[in-house]
Amino acid sequence: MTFVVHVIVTVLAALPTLRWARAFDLLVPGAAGVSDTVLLLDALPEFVRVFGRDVFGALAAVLLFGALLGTPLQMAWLAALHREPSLRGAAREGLLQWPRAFVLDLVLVIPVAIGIGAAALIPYAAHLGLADQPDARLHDLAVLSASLPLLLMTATALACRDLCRAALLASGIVASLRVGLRSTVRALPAYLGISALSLLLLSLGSTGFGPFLALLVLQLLAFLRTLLRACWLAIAVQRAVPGVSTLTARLGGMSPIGDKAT
Amino acid sequence: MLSTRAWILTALVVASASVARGQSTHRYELSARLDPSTHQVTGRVTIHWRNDSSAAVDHLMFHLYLNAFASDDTVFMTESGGQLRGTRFHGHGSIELQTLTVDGSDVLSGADDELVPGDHTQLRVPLPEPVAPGETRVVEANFVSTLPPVFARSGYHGDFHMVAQWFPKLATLEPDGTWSSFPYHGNGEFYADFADYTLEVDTPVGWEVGATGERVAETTRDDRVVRRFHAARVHDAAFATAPWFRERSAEYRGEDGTSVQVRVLYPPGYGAAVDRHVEVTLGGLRRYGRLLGEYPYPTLTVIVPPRGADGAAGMEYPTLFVTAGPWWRFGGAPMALHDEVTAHELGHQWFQGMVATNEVRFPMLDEGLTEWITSDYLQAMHGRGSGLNSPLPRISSFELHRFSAFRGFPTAPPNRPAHRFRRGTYGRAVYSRSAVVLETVARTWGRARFHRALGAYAREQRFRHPVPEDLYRAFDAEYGPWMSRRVLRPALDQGAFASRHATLIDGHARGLRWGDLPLPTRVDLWHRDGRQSVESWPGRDVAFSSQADDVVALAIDAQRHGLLDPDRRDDMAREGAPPASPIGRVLYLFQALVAWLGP
Repeated sequence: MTFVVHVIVTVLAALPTLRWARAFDLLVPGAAGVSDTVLLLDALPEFVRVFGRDVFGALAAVLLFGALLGTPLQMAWLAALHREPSLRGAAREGLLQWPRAFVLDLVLVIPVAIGIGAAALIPYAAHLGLADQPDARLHDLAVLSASLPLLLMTATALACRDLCRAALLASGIVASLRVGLRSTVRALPAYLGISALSLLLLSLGSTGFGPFLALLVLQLLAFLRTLLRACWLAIAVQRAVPGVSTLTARLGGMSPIGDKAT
Repeated sequence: MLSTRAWILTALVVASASVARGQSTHRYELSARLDPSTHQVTGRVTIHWRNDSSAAVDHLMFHLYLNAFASDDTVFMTESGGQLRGTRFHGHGSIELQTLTVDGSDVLSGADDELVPGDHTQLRVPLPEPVAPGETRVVEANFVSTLPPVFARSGYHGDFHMVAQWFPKLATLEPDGTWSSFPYHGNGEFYADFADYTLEVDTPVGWEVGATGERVAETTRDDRVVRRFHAARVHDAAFATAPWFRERSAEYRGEDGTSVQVRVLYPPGYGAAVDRHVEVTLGGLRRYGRLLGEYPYPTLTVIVPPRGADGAAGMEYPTLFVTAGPWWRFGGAPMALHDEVTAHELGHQWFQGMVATNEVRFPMLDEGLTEWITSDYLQAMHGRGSGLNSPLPRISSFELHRFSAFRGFPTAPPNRPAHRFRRGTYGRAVYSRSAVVLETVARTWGRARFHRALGAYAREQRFRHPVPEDLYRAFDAEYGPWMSRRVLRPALDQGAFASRHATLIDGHARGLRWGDLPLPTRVDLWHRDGRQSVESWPGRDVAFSSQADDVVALAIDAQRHGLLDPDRRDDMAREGAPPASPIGRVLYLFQALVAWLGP
């Protein structure tokens, strides 16, 4: 199932990417080398225009589709990690759980908004308190430090949502909320660690390889990111669903063919 | 209680007087008392003025430029639309003359301060009797200047006060006895005669002051401190003050033995950035000094404004400039903003500070030349990364200027009055297009020759008011009369450019140019058997055709000597498919984006 998710994400991302590549090739037709930033500079105004018209539209449509598809896909993914059903079974489970996950999101959105809003007040208060003094460094470092609770609150909310969704596989909405909230604090270090690793992989996006080797290397990194996400979801299932005890058992759900573990 | 700590340094005064290597015929004695609570400066000026023209003068012309912010109807406000360089106008400022006398006789009552309807930035003062050539008059005035919230170079932000364009200043009297006077325009502000200035700044105790000239005395009385500054042969005086200024000092020693005390005043927290400002300033004094003649004044004050005072940032005054840039700086990777603004404002000490052109009529001679020496300096420091020094794209400052000058539509020619540019095109034309024209000359015919020509112009015109003809004459002396006739005038006065187009037909390389600039160009050819050859494309030929018939790729001016081509994508041609785009990286980023919003 993990591989299927990766393929879906890649196909969606490929749509705006292909438009981008077509626009790029049209704009730099005779270039001796695309690494020539001067030529890219000449192409920039036209590129921005084409990007705005073609690529941005495709990207927006894909992101909207991805956001809509995200919830049932995640539920199917969690189901695969939980009971390791067939792909078809996981997809059916994902679709069945979609409405309940939607209700759960609605219940979560208000306290999360309040929590994030409250956390956002801290850096704002720091900004207001230090706005009139001339030391910009003091201001910036204070606001940056005061933003840490906001980051932590956002990460907590995202981890909590995943845990609650995992709990939905075995419980009702209210019970899932209770389980998810209870598990969040203990699961948070794992979520933060995996997110940090994922960001680290993303930062490796600029490689020094040629275009074809770079494509291969970057796709390997992209799949590693998907695996990291799968690791986190497996941890969420382990934490939130009674009777699931080991992480390794759950990682069987990452089998590319999505078959039941034997 | 009277507590006096005075250290009048006669030797320094003598040294600064010798700076000019000649005498100013005018003298300004200024005093300013700042009230930080009202942001008002109560001032007094005594001007010893001599008629240096060949004709009798029956009136004086003053600039009262702070009145540009007195209402929304001034020339400045209507031209600028109430914004300048990203800072919006948000409070009025003005200068109010209380008395004005010439040799003791009141002349204020007969003065006219609305020469342009709605604008009070000029004052025409009829004289009781004409002043014959060579005669001297003493002009005295009392005035109150109200600073606006910092905007367009002047004003306050919190306790930071940038006091500029703050006193009644005489316009420039031309040799034929006519005054060159302008209202304060949105772009271009300087044009005044050289004079010896004495400036007394009275602030509360604990406030540090950076001002035009050399500090020669300091007196404390109760809760006020008065500092006295002296500058010989300058054309303006400004000062900055704040209670929290930190100070850094350095010394520059010129190759002719001159010594310059560099003083940086900055807000707390900016120490790391100041290290870089000092490095760039000292390096710039060396580079510009070699190129244009040594900096002749004993002091140079650099003001680092606090965040929020951006309206005062990036501005030059004689022996003082205001730089810009954030407090942070990554070690070993100089940020362009620190380097660019400091190098540029320092460059103005020559082009406008000493080579005092009319900035309103000929902004190209001020901003254009300064931008070229800035980018030349940045290029020497950072090579290809002189404009953008990021780990991936490294773009030179001149390439950024080429992009600025030609993107979308080419700008107007740079050599025209500042107020004749359409809004938003002044910087692109005057800064960027001037710089790329000059850099094209430097790259095409050699940088050393270019340095000689520009250096000769700067040295010859020091403490004068040159016009574009003087610049062209200096270049013609180095290159020959064709330089101004065929290159500089067409490119700077008429907006000529040099576009090239490459094609490859059956193994024959072809080139075609248009745009009226006859730049000799090199063409690189790649042959089917792997050979590479070079051919010359003389400037007089409109078309180019290769002898060889086995060419698989060609590149016109691959060395990028000509920066006056609006689009260089068609300067190259090759057989076969174009190289692949960096599709892998884009896909990788889009995957992350979709995954983040998705499952």
